[in-house]
Amino acid sequence: MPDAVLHWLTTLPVGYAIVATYLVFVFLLVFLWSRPAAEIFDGAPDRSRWRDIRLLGTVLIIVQLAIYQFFR
Amino acid sequence: MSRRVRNAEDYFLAGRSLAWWVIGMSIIGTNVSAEGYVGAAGSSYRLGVAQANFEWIGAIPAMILAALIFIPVYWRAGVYSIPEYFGQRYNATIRVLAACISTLFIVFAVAAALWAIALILETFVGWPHWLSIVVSGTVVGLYSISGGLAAIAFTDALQVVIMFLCGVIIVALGIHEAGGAEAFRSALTAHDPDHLKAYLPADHPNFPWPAVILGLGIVLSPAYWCGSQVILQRTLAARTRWDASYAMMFAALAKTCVPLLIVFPGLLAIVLAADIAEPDQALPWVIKHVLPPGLSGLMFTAILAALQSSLDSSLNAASLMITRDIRGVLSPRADPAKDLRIGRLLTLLILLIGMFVAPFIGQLGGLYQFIQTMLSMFQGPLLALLLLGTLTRHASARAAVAVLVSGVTLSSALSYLGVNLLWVAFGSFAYSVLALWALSFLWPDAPDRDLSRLVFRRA
Repeated sequence: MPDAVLHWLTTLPVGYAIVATYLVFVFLLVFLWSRPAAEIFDGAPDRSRWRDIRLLGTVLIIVQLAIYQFFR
Repeated sequence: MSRRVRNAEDYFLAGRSLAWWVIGMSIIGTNVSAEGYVGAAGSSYRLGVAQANFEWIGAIPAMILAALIFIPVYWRAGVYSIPEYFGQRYNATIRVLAACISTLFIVFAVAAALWAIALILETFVGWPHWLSIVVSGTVVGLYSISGGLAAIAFTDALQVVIMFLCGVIIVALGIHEAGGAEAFRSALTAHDPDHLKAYLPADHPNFPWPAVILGLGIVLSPAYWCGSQVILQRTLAARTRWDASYAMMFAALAKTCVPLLIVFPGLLAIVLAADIAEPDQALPWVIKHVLPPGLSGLMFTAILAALQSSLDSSLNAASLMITRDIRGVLSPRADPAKDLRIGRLLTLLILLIGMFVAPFIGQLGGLYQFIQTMLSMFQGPLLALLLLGTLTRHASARAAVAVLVSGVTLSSALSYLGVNLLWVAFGSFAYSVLALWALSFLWPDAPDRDLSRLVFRRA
């Protein structure tokens, strides 16, 4: 990686890291809910709420956002 | 359990019968290994909470993508291994190369795990290294060779329960010992205000945040969680596709709590002003000084369990790749009915090689650093192949071979020049993506090739 780019990266404030992290998780949340139910429940014995991978993923993402908010 | 193993599918994929909760716990048991328990506590003693990025931004996004994109694609392809997927998506050369690279790494990982067990047994029990290596190798070998992946997954699940139980007890006793949560926080930040920050400054010498996000978050983590045979093998052994994806999401939720097990002891050593010469002694110090004698024994068992659960999974994965992805391709006339016998023999052979190499691992530098350096060299190029292969129809077989060879050469050269390993990973990944995209225009695949089973379908 060119030295100039590396040098520029070392000047970025830590606040940008938190913003980048939030953006990653928000993107994942949108992607998660863009998946159709047929795909999410493919192979599941039934469609009960707890089997919805999107709900489990949402809980996971909210926990991650809370962690990075706490340790910012 | 060994009586249920009748063929190669039973041995390598547990007869495709595992439930989501076994797979999820086995994933965590396999993931928390020698470097996880001993090395991460040492690193958190130096860096603070920032070390937990390996478990959060350095794992969770990739695990979500694995559950939603990669596992469904592997399931549709009906493969036993990730190199087999590479073989279907590209060609047999990539399949054999990927299997060789992964197997080589696994042999070192087996040796490193055995060495870590030997160090721990020397510290707590006073056993000589050779005795620890022989005893632990024999114990793991017995259930891995006889019961295959099913025995490994259920053993891992039990070991994870012990690990988490011990982790919760350490946190409770540690905070009590420090005088409460507020006193713990004050003591930690008084030592260094950055110890409670998730990200360290961009000019930090060891752990700058841009390298964490670009190198760890974008390259190393997806390469591991979406492409590691050792991790993903148990998802391919699920009874349904839903079990496989749900297991990965469940494992991600459990992974969020892993810092309590492996990062917290390092922080506790700072707060209690541990009298240690090396950061890697943080965890043994906490076990000796914070836990009462009975619980020290339980914690010692938990660490051994963590190490063994990584070791057994590595053995089975390497044996699978040699049996099917190397032998199966290089000897097309080989009888698949013999795969079970050969798989068991190879598991024994890899274990014996690991036991022989283990005493020399200590001379190669810090365990954690060693494994991360090895990983960073291969994972950038392999991830580029996996990513473009799974998400696009454009990546071609001939371009993939050229990129794999040149990408690994580039990352080896960057490592040799002393570049930070996170930058090595990102640099070789960026090169490999661009090169694979460009070379695929030059050397495209036949236009009538059917890739419908092998590429992610958008909703």
